[in-house]
Amino acid sequence: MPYFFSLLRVDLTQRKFREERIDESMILKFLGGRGLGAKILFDELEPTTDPLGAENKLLFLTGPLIGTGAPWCVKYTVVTRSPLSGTILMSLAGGFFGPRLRCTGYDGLIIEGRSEESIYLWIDRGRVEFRKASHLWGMTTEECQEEIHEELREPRVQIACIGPAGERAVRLACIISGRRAAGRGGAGAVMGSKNLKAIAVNGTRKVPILEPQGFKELQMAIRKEVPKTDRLKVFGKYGTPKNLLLVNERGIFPTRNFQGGMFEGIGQVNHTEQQRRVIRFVTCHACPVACGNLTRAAEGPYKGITTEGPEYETFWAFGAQCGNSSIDAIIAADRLCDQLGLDTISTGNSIGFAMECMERGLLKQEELDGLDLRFGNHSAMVEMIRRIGYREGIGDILAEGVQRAADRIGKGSQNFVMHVKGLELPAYDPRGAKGMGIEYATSPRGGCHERGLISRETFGAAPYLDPLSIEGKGAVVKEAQDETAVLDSLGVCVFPPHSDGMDIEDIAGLLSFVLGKSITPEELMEAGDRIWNLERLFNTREGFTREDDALPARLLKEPMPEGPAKGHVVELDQLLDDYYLTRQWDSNGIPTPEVLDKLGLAQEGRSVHLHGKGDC
Amino acid sequence: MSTSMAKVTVKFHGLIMDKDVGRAEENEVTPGTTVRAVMELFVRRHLASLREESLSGDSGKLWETHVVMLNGIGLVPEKQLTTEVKEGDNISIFLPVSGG
Ligand code: SF4
Repeated sequence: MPYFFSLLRVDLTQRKFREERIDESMILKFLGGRGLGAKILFDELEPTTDPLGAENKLLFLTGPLIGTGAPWCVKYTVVTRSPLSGTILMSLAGGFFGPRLRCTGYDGLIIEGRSEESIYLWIDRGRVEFRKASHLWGMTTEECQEEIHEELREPRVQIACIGPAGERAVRLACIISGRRAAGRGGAGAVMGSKNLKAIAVNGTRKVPILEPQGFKELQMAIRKEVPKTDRLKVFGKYGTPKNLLLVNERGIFPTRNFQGGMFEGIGQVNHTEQQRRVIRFVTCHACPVACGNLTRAAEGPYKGITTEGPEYETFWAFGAQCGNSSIDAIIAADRLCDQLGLDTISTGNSIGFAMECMERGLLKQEELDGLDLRFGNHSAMVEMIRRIGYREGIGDILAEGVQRAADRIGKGSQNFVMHVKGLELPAYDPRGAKGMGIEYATSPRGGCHERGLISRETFGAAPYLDPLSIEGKGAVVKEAQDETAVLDSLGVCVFPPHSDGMDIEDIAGLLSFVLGKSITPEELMEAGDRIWNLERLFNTREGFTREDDALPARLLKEPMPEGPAKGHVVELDQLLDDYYLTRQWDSNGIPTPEVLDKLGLAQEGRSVHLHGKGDC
Repeated sequence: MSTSMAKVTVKFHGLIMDKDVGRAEENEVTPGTTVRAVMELFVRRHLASLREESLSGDSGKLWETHVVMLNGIGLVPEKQLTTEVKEGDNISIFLPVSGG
């Protein structure tokens, strides 16, 4: 029996839908999720399509391992053109939505057009309904999910929805399912622009596994190792916040909008302080690690506020980035972002930027409607989140993303605005981790750490890799990026592979049993390379070149003032030369015909003509 | 105090919950002592607490899994064995690398 994928194509304008098949050869080439999304978007989206226009497409995709019960195979991916960066966007979320989506009988959704009135989609065991959402419009993500649960009265329903930020096309808006976010790049704004408040899914289909016995034995063997693996156990206990102290001590913890690399408030904002506030662990579908924490604020005006998380990045975004050492304010900020449907990294980065503008006298308190947005003023920080979510006052400017905000504010603020291609930078300073500089500059969705994080460099995992050296970093980054493209496309959580949990051989084994044919780790890595190149072609077609593989001026010109990386800047040109050479791209960062031919992308390569960048 | 002794600081970050964030301990050691030997001292001193908190259940082998830095620079296990400490050195110990 040949393996295939079934996608549901939904036209919101016409209120029509149809089922389409993706055959096995496509799965072998692009795997699923992120990779399959890149192929569909590349083939179907006209260059320079307005990301917030009806013509943009919004894909919700899973991969062949999702819903199989194999550990850590949980993520669904949203693929679209980003309203923040104008690049291709892939945004992933764990939890339970992805596995439940596959149970509907569809492995993914292609959403097209724009509904005249606000609606939500209800997909249940193959049935599709367009339902009115006027009563849900304006609700927070939590209220919206509660209301839909109440309406549908199906206990197993999973919902992905937007909050008030997505409704207002805030470019920092995310999509929330449960309490997990497909966070970065503004996918929530795309959903809002289509008047689509939510997607609810339910089903009982068993996802296909062509060799179930072999699959069962392998996944049991992987699970058996979990209790014996120290790194996984530590991760399960503390989650990502455990890295706060380490990254700070390594001097790459961006502080006050990347003015420094070590945060003086780290003693109050770290995993041990969080553990005092943890109510219980939380987990994703079929995960033996359960790295999430439900945390309750303990003191002050935020006492009693509960959130899932905060994760490492959120601790940074509303901690060091805003000069805030109140952990309870960070808990409140995280919760508010989830409710409004805002990406915490971009939101915290933007507020830190506005704080620096204020301290430098570029934004006056009057322009902030009286808000005293100094670094460390956490009540102003939390209020600012609300204003961004509802586009009030200065919040309306920051809601456009930090790049457009700097253009609007002007007065030299462009010199310290921290983004790449419009996507706000996250929580590592590449002046002290040079490979991260390549990663930020070349990640297909803009300033992102997740598409090829090198834990040897960032966290000091063995074997040793000098974080301050630029030698050979191109090859190390390429390998990490290709591997991450595999994990993303199959919907495998990236944390366990960084923690001795599951390696590329295990993943190749699991996939082989699912598809009923042998897939080698080498073939998987080649698929990762192919996916990376196809995303690059998409961006090339949108007009992105080497010039856009840039880093903020601060990282190139202002030496790190403290810590182990003191005196360092990022030597971006040398790093990019080395990286492009490794990828077989030309000196302008465009994939050569040779590499495209090798990866089976010659036709896609030929179809790319250099258009100007779209106005988005 | 003998002048030939070297003062070395060990900082432990979140290894022993509730007690230790950024807590520093000073050790006086003889010249020629390796980083590994200083860590063994630390482990012996805190064995009970480490056993309680340690996820490996074998705190004696802290260095095999945990991240160790000397004066802000990461040290691989082989270097921990051979690098000799000197007056004023700072050793930092963190939980094992995981996640991202
Ligand atoms: S490790 Fe954490 S994020 Fe990954 S699947 Fe498990 S609970 Fe989800």
